[in-house]
Amino acid sequence: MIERKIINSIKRKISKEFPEFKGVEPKVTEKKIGPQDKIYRKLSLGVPKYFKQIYRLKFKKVVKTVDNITMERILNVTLDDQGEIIKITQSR
Amino acid sequence: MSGKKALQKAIDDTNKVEKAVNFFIKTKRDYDIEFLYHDRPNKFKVKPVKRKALSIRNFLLKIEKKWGDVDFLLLLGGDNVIPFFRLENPCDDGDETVLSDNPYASKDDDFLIPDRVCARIPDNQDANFIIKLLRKSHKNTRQAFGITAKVWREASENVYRQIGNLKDLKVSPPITSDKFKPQWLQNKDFLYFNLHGTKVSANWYGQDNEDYPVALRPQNIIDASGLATSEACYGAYIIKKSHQDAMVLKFLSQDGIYGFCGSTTISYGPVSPPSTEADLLAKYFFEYIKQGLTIGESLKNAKIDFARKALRRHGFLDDDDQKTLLQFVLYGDPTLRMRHRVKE
Repeated sequence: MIERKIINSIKRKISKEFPEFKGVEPKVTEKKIGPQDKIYRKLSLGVPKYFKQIYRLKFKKVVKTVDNITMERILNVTLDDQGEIIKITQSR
Repeated sequence: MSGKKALQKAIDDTNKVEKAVNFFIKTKRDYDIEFLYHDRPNKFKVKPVKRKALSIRNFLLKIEKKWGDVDFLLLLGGDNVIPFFRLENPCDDGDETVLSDNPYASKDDDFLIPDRVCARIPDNQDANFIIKLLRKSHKNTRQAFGITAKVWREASENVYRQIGNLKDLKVSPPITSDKFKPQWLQNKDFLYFNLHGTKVSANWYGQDNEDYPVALRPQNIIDASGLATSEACYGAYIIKKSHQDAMVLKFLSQDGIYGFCGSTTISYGPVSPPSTEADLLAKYFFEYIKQGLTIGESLKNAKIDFARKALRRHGFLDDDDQKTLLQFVLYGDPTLRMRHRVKE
């Protein structure tokens, strides 16, 4: 499992860069991704034989719009097996 | 393709639509087109099937075996007529399933990558709504409009530069529906929206920190024109909706709007460049349209390029990538094309 200090460092980064998610505790998941042979074959690409391990930190929050509509906001941070950020995405 | 029984139920009388379809076929001389009801006997002698997504897809695959490759597929009707597939949601979010037309576009059991063009003309429970969409054509204006939530400005600029000048990209806030000028949407080739959306409200929203103002209401859409593309969550969600409570149907009800590309469920995008997820798909979609491909081919190719790019970047398609490929749908005639150059 991912080290606690990495999670804490990402929480600090998210609080700073996305203040709307400050104080939100992320749900941490670990995923092993197989070679996805079918997709590679369909795209006529050589199939890699290795598995990749990634971690996902999901920050979720419910907000209200100005016209009082409830909206779920999600911010996902994807990390590689070394704990380096691969990407940050938000729900639209 | 449509379903006679369900279409009849949705719009009462199918005669007018059938006439419009026949006219559509006559005008598309570059294409060899057949119009089929999945629940009626057909010239290929393929057994009619009931209104179930998987059965309809199998019906199509059997037709293809007898007729040859189907390169373009146009589904006539909303979810009540030709159901969306309810696919397992790869993401851990509020959607139980992902509403998708991808399996109709795929010839094998991998639904992420399309093999053919697939688009849909929703019915909006009105025969004239369908007929109007079958008769649409495009007049080039070389103009574009775009609006983004303030928090995604940089990311949106990376997409919008494909179709317009960055100085013209509107930002919400400060733009809100009260300040929105309907003429911004008029006489355009492209309309681009990178705003928040929800399942329950017709409105789309901007964002600045914790402020979520209404950026666009259906009432702001008057005489809009062009091809509309929205990254909003549920931007293309049409189930039990009409032009009065769904932005997508309001757009498609306009005389000048000939297509809409959007997401049926919760969608994702980056906060800043490089473009990923919905931003990347929209970017590729615009690139292909500008090259002169049909809007249907443009979305198909955009999905293929999107998958290649994700695989090159990370070696795999993650949950968000997979959901993006499944959830984006095209409404309108997929054979329409335009030539658009950004005005200097």
